[in-house]
Amino acid sequence: MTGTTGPVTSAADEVRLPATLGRTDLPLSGVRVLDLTMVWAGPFGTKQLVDAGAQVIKVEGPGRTDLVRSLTIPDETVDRPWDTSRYFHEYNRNKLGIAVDVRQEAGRKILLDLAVRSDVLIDNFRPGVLDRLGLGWARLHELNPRLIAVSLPGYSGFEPERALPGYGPNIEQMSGLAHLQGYPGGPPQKSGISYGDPVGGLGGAAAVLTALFQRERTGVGTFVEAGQRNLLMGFVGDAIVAHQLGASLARNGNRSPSFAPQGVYPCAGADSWVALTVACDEQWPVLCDVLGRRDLAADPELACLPGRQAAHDRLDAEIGAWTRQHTNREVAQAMQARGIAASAVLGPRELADDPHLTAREFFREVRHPDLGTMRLTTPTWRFDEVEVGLAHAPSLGQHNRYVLREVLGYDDETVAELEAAGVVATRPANR
Amino acid sequence: MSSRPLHGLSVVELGFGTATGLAGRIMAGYGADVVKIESPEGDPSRHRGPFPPGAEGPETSAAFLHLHGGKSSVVLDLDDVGSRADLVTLLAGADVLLLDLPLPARSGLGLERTALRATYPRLVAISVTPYGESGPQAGWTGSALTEYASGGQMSLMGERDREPLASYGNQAECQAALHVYSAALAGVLLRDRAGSGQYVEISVQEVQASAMEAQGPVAYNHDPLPDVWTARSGNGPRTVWSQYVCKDGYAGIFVNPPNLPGFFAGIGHPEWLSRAADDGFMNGELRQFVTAWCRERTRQEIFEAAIATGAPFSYVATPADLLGSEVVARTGVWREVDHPVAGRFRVPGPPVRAEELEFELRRAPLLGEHTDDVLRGAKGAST
Repeated sequence: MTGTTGPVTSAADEVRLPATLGRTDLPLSGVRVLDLTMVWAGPFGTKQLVDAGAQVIKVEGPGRTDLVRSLTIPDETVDRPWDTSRYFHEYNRNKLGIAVDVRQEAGRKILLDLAVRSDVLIDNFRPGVLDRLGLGWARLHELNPRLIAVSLPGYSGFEPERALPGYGPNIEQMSGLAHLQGYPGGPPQKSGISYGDPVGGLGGAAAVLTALFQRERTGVGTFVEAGQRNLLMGFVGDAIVAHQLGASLARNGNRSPSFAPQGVYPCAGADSWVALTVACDEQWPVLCDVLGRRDLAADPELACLPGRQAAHDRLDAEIGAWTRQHTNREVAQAMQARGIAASAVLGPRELADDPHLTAREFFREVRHPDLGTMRLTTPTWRFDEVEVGLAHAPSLGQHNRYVLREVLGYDDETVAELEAAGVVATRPANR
Repeated sequence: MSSRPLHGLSVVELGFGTATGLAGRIMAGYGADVVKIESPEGDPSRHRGPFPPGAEGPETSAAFLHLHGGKSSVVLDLDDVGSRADLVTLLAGADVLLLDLPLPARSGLGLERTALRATYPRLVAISVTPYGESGPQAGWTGSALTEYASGGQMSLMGERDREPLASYGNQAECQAALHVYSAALAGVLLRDRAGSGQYVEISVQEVQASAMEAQGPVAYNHDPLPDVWTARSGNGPRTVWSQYVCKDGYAGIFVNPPNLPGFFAGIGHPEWLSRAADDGFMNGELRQFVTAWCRERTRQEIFEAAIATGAPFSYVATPADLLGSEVVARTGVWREVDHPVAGRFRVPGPPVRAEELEFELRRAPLLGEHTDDVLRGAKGAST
């Protein structure tokens, strides 16, 4: 059975449109993005575009809902739990949402009609899926020469890696990044987040902007492959150059060849840490003063970087003995007051109540019919004098009718037929 | 005429950091004319290395050679009145300014937000700071380490029984670089439509805090968050989501449920798929098997198993591996440069693959190599 039609969360919510729709004063006003991505990388990339004013149409299907709709649901007992995922809302805010059954010919036609009327199509399908949907690049380019298509693979479109699945940690390893990071003398260490994903998304957004510039000049769109592995290679380019120059790089944990002391030190409280960097010789006696250790400042061996590097283990012990007596925020405050770079190691919970982020209105409150007031992060590109209103992510199929009527120009009768046939839906197929 | 996508875009980079440096590099590769302002001592990355053995110097730092390829180097001593006038001339003709000077340093140079907008009405200024330009920590300074600590990502990296760990280099600003790049282009599009310059503020802390996977959105809404989600994840939280030692290095087995058939086929036991729901097996017997299976194989053998079965296996690649990889080369990522001091070497080129988006990269400039030419040209253009 295909997804059933029926009311979305409410009639009012169905017609509620993204906060930026119709605006003409935003950087990407007038740019329509057909977003076929799911999970994190793709939605993170199109979040950047929608935050900048693009009209992003997120396409799901009754049998293909974004996987993260099933995660981070505060209350599974609500009527439509799949519309309440925190994860989904953060990265899909302000997007239009349609749910199309692409197993039906009429569903595939909707996608094609949308592609013909879009500026950008972005996907993170496995190889060959777009072709099977009738959305191969050659066909799209012929039907809509201005279309920019961006694909987001983990690796590349070349054999033997073309069809190889890769998650964030896989990509991090294959890009050279993992090799370079880890505790001194220890193995390579992976990042704590699925790092390839946000980088892939950002790379996809950057590719869209580049291709838009190209199109301004040529009038023609282009196909771009924003592979996570290659993007991350650009983040370790210095190591790749260094290798060719004969330099060898050892994993050095939190230390730096350029600064000492530098480290992450324990503070009062459970699993509480502060990072700090003494960036130059002049800062060393200042640090000693904050620590109340004039004896260290008076030691000529420690006055210059090489001496402090040689004594780093001892200095770490001395600094740690002091930081343990204070909270990580107290240490950061004391150091920063004297011009020394320092930060509490902030986890997600600490960020949620961080006074600085709060003062900057990094967290924005929006209303959701089931969740009440919820918080989203503010757009990361803060354009002066450009207010970007935020709204929650679409419920499944929330904007089916709007997109079919207003974007594609379908008449009411056609829309009703598509709904009746389950070509568009507002509930997952199995719910 | 160049057919590169950003041809004709004039960019001034006045910054010390990776965010502005890497963004400027990508712009240069795509055809923008990027002028990097340096102090007489040179950009900090000239002194950071890594250096070739026995050849430490401002023209041999790998960080500079990588980050600043394709740009012109103009030395200005901004303590000097004449140099400050030169900066005004350069900015008057620029489309984009990439700026990461500390906020206090900007006021004496006419680079505050209001001054920039008033003086250069068509300029798109992208301002990068560790914490943004408002709030109680607006004036705080940062390093690669502290910036990474401030945004949440460090809290999840490393082993649970050890201190949180930094990623390589300055990954916080590498992420920010892509924001800087895209925001600059978006700003130019808006400027061209609206007719007025733009000022865009980017906080390195916010860049990371907005990329905290599922943990961020849950925590930010004060929903209950399992400790396992906020603890440092280490290298091997689960059998099928771990790094393993192999014969010649390290391999990665990072498998999600849809990949379990490929995974079991890859390790030669497709029949074990039926035991995937048995936690005791998955975290006991299977862990021992996978550990031994990896130890007995080379990275290449493990990767070949991945290719054969579609399993998400990987290995820890070194720079040498990447430089020697045929498939990486086929993606067209490499550009070769010939530097008069450092020699000939390859650098990662275009961040993405697109036949029609031409990307070329000159070698990184010598310190002040283009000062006279650029200033002469700028003054000529302004008269």
